Amino acid sequence: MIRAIGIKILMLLPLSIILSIILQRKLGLYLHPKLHIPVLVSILYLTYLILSVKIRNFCIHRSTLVAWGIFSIFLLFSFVHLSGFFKETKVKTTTKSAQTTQSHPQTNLLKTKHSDSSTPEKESTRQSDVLYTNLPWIAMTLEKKRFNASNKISVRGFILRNAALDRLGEAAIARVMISCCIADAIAIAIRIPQDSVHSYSPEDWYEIRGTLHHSHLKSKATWNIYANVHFIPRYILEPDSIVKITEAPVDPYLFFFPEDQEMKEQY
Amino acid sequence: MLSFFHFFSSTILESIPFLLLGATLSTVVEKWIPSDWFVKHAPSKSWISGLLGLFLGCILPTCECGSILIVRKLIAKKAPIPFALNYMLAGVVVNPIVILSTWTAFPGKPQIVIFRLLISMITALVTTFVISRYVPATAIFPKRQRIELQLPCCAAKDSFASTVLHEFFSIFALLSLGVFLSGLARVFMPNAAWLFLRDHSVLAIPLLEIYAFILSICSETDAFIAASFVGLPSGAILAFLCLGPVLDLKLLLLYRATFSIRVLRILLIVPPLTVWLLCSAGEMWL
Repeated sequence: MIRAIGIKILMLLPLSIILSIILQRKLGLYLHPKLHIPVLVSILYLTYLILSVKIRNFCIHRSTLVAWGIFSIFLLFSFVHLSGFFKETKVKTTTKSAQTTQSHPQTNLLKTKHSDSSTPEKESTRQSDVLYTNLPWIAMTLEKKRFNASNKISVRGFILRNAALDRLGEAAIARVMISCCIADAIAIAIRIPQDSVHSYSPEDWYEIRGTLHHSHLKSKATWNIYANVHFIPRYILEPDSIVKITEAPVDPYLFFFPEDQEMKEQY
Repeated sequence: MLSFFHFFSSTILESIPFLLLGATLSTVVEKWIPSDWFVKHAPSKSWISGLLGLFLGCILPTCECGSILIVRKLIAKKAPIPFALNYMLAGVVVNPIVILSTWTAFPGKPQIVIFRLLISMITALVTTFVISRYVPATAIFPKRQRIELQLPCCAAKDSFASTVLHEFFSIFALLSLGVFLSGLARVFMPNAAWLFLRDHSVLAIPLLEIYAFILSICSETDAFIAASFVGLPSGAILAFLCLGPVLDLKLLLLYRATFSIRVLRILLIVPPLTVWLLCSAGEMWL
């Protein structure tokens, strides 16, 4: 009897974790929005099934119990990590880097912004001649040859740097796109010239405004060193203004939508 | 290490709705289809029932983890074996959801969608033919079921809910083991190995078959991954799209639990070779 109740509680444990993920609106860090309703419905359905089955009928193989337990531990671990439990040390380092950038008088283009204070004023500072969009959309529209490359664009992303790109005097800005879940995440990247005046720190988030310019790559092998990163070929992004975002955005991932407009509006 | 936890839990989360759908549909098959229905209504010629099985996916659309549950129930109901095998091998591609996702991932390239459907159907037919030709019907399933299909408490008179739960959890352990292994491969395999797989166009088709085998992504999403292989020959992309739903790391574990070693051997050899041949032939037409 007690064992059966214990099994029931173990069965319900990951479901309650998933429910709390949904309630805290963190499911976007795992799955594409189109799957949120199916997951919610199936979690409720599964909860109903587990609660409605008579304890005496509730027989289950031991390996399944182990797998279900491991699943709940992994889920809990990733959730705790994502909701920022371990992030205190990271905040310290970002404030340090903010101070160092302020002390550099040459970095006239580089401004540091705290994302929490900047969110209300960002809407008002948006300029009408700039297209606020994202890298995956640009890559797709370029492929369809429907993109006007002379447009001024503004994109957000994190910085990629490696030895091969450094040798070319370039860095890259990338954004991760998900078409179903994290397993199929790919990053779309575009190269940016890396001036000595403002050298980017890798893996930090930036908001870059500028225009696309033609730039052919000489050798593909020197810069293409990540398996899941796809560079936009033949173009380089010449920045007009660079804004460092001190904290990664609340929604770091972009999602693939078949509708062009929906895809374009993500920022 | 954290990315591994994240990968594991999100892949399982993604598969839960489809797994539950498969468990529910297979319970419906068990509870509502009388046990002699298939014996009465199945066409007498086995090739006709095999062809019908190809299109069952349009009525019961699931992805590969859900479909194997339905197949086991179909076989337990004495459905013709070519019918069930063709549904298992082709039904995961020949269904509206997968066609739609392939269509959206390759806009303006209807030939990819058509070739994917054709190649998966032919592969399923060839594999089913080989199995029914070389394995006698009594040797298709192992003598002792590895997952307990009939626990004493899970008899036919059980309630709908407990049968669905039993179906769901009987496949869950194997599925999570498969996701665990492919997650390990993805997190700990060096970048260089992935790039070698992706960039060597001479060996592109067999290498992308291996890639599809290790990645073990759901048949409903693999089109989006394939769309990101920019610069690869279309034959290799087709091979990735056609083999992934039929054979991969997590499916291998599920097959191992359902079929005998002889069938498993055929499933490991015939589909990759057929896909390889057909894709190299199809490349000329693309």
